[in-house]
Amino acid sequence: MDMNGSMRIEAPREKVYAALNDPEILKQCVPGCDSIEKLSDTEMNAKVTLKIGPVKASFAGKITLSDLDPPNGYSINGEGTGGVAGYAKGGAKVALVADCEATILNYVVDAQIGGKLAQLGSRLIDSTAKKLAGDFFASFGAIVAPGAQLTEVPAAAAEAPAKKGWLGKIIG
Amino acid sequence: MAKINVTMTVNGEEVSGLAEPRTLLVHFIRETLNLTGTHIGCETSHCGACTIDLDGVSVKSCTRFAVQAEGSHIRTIEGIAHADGTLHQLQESFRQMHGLQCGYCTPGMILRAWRLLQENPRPSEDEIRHGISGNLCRCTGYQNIVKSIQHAAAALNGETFAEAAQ
Amino acid sequence: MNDMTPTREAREAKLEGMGCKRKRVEDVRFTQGRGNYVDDIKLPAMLYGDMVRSSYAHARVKRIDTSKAEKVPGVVAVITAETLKTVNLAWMPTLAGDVQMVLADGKVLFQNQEVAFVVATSLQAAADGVELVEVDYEELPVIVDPFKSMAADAPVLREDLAGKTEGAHGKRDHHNHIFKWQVGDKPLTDEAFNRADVKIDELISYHRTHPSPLETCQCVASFDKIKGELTLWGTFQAPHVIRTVVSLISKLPEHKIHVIAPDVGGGFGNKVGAYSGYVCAVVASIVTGRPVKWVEDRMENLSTTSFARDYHMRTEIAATKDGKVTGLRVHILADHGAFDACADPSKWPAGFSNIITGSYDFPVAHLCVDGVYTNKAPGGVAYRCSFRVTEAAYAIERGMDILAQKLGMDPAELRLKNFIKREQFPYQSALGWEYDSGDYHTALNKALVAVDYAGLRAEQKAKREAFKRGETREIMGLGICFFTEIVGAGPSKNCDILGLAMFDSCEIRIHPTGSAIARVGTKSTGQGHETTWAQIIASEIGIAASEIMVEEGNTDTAPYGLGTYGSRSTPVAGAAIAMASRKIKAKAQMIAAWLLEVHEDDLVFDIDRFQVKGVPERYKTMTDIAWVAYHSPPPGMEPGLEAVSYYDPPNMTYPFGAYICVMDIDVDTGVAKTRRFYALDDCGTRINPMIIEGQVHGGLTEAFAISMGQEIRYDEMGNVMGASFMDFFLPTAVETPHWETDHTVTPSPHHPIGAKGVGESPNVGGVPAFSNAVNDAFSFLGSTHIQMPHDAWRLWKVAEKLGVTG
Repeated sequence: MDMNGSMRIEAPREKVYAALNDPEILKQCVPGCDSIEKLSDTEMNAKVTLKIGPVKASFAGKITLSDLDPPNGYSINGEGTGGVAGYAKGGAKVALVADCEATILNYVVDAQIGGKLAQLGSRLIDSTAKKLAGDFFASFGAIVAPGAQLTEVPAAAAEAPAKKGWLGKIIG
Repeated sequence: MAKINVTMTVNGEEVSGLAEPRTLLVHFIRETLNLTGTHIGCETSHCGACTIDLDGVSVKSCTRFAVQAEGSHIRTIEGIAHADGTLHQLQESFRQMHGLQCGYCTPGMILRAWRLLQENPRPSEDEIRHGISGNLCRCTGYQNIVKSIQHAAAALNGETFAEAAQ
Repeated sequence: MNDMTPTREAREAKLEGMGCKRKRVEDVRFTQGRGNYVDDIKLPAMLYGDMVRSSYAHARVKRIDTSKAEKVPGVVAVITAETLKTVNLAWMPTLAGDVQMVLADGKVLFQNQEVAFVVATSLQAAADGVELVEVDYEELPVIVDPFKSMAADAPVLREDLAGKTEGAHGKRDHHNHIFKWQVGDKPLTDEAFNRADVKIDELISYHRTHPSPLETCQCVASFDKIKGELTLWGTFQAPHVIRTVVSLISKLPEHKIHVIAPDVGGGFGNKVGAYSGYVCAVVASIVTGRPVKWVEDRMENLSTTSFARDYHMRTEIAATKDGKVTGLRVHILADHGAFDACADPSKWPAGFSNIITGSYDFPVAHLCVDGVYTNKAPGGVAYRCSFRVTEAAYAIERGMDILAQKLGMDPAELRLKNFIKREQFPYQSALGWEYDSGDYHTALNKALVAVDYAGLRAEQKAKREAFKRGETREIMGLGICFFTEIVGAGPSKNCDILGLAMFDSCEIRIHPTGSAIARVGTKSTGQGHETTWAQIIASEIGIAASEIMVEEGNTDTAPYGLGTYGSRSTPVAGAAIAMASRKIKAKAQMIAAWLLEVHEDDLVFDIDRFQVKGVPERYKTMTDIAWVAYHSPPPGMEPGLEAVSYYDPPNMTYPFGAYICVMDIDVDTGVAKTRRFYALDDCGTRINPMIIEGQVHGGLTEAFAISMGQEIRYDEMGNVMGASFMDFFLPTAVETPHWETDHTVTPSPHHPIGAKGVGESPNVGGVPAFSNAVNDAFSFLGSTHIQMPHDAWRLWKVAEKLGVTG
């Protein structure tokens, strides 16, 4: 599944971009994050506890940053296994657009799950992933510049020509 | 994990046993009380093989913890026949109307029908079908189960059920 | 004394023999919760096993760490492939000539594959242990679509087969190819197509589903170190085969293995195979010296032990313009999952799918089947059907409807025109079978009259007009299926399992007081053998069925048999029962002749006795004879009265039937309502009409489930999406239609009592009848073929695509 969202953060792009690369900030934003350990500039080990429907599981996994393009954006991807509960993979493509002194943060998130999580919780995945992504960026915005507003754009709406999503707005 | 003493009345007798807080009622009934007529067919409360009667309602015993049944009155398939050993009309009717094949769903089905006929002594076919819709059967296609319940209802009401098992 | 003798009718009634609606013996215990199923077995010091399973559909297993699990209080042992290798059991042979991992050895090939087996003192402790086994996986690319299996760049699934260009069934064309199986005359068939006036060509898929008996697969293994003996209780449809397999793979001598199948809560093909859980329980019991119980949960059952179907059948029929079929050409792509664990007789990698010419007189035909590996659970069992027969019946019955639509001909008329005629039996089919007997025209005509077919077609016509005028949002479909099954595997000349000829057996002992015990090589999983086997014996030798105990499932006491599946119990074991009875009867006749001081030929058997021809008052009942057999047998004759028969059938049997389904579909919601379902079955001689009807009801309900929604679906990552009763459609009493049953009787000419078997016919015939009804409903809107399953969402999508939704 894919979903898009957008938010305005009252801070310059450089500051937002730096925050996106700061493990301490990421730790506060990743929902259920128990620990983050930096391995290199683009790799981190993380432990996350997630609850999807009836299944609660601790995931041990890796977060990687790629497509680094300061200060325009990057991709953040995570992958983790939760033992018998299964595994989860997810990522977000983040684009930062300057808007005077502020920054518009646009994201496209995709998530995949496998194992028991997928078998039992498939009908809960979309809503859970959407909530997790929303929580992440809301926390992020609040930390970088208190008062940031999150606008979620459903994927279907983003594709519809009548209601252009952020991508549509950018490309015109 | 620490165990808790649980006491309940099962088929008219007070019984007690130790159970972990996470022990399911169906496991308590089968493993601790050794009443193996109550079966397990799924773990999502869909199949009804574990149906028992608990304080006057049909309950899927795989979806209760044993500790939740503290102090309750339970009836299982082992407690359906009369005290003198003769079969309950439903047990007789299921045999007469060929309302079972592999027998795995049968205890739950009879327990559900037992409560249904107390809730509604003269159910229509439609009411029976809805009434047992929480119990799955893989063998019979339900038609003869419905007939068995109709047959039992008629007998319990002192009426005759015309349609014999074809 | 003779004046006091009951009437013949009363004597006959007392027997409760064949043809009688005898009430079931089994029900007395089942209705009181006194059945004895595997999970009811509790032995002193028994341990519980639970499986660690893979979350990934395809991955390399880099590390398994069992140390934390082993520390859990109550956990006694954790078994992995490494443990199994010490006893050479990390892999096991499959029934289809392949091998299969017992526990993941280096990699996993389907989701929920068995990775480690935790053994503990309680269910709960075992589950705790499972949580703490750590497995590191390296994900590999996944194939779930069989059409992508043989792509040039498809990932290699079975690294163990690297370089092997020959499989158990000949040449492998690709690293994910299992076999190619061909039958029929290709050049002649191609020629028929070249000359044909009319042709159809359709990909007809039969989706993946699962037998899903209400009781899952389970076992208790108990190894006695002192005696060196293993006792294995399990949910087995074929206990003797399990004993031989266990002996072959464990190297324990077969006489020291006791396999017992107690009451089994439904099988439907799910309980034929040998599964990892059984092997692990056996090994765990040997390792720990304690009994070990393994019970599958529902998710494990649906996602690992033996799926059914996943056959994709490109079906072509050639015909003349007036509707005479002239050729059939079919290519099947068979998705067998990660291991070829199909439960077919050894020489038949695609089962009896060459019954695909159905009930029609095809002069030529050609069938080619390619089996492929995917990252899905292994299996391919006969879910309430003989081997791959429901797939074949579905393809041909859909194909005939598609042809009728193309010809503008009524589907009933097309069938009547092409049926094999009564006088053509025994009939040699273009794909190699000899059909034993049939009277198809009589059966279909009876069905058409019973439902007022002409009236229904007229109503449908009127409804279609009304639909076009916008006066109704409902469309009506009439589904016809005329199936021919092939059951009763089978003759030793072409049927074996692991080299064991597919005979079956019966041993009967008459006790001195005239009651009896019969032991049979089959295993009832709900069919009521304890009831019906006694009826055959009662009719054959004149002892009341109520005086005969039938015992199955204990390999120490029952004669060797190949078990119950593929509707083989009545055709094969039923024959063995009749033949064993006749041996007893022959000896009884000698005893009676001696007692009555006449020649054997001067005696005639009458219900329950031998009497002197023309002098009915001079007789000896079977009870009299039994006593004499043990007390004072004729001089020179061995005492006792017992017999064993091993029956090797000369041919299969070919039950058939005509099913008609009337359905109304709401195009705005896709909800389909079965208004009427009429099923006429011809299973030859009918042993117990009550039980036959029950079998038909059950089989039709499974057919309804399969065609209208039941599916094991996988997403592109290999997640199995139908693995619980939340997602896997099992109809309740509310959705299940009302069934009307009927019959004709065309006995099998080669079977001792003329019976053909019935348990699976309703599934084989039911699925095409439902699907044809759905397709018939939409046909006037321009639709040709709609793939199953036909759940409301999919039907709504069809209606939407056809532009008729509101």
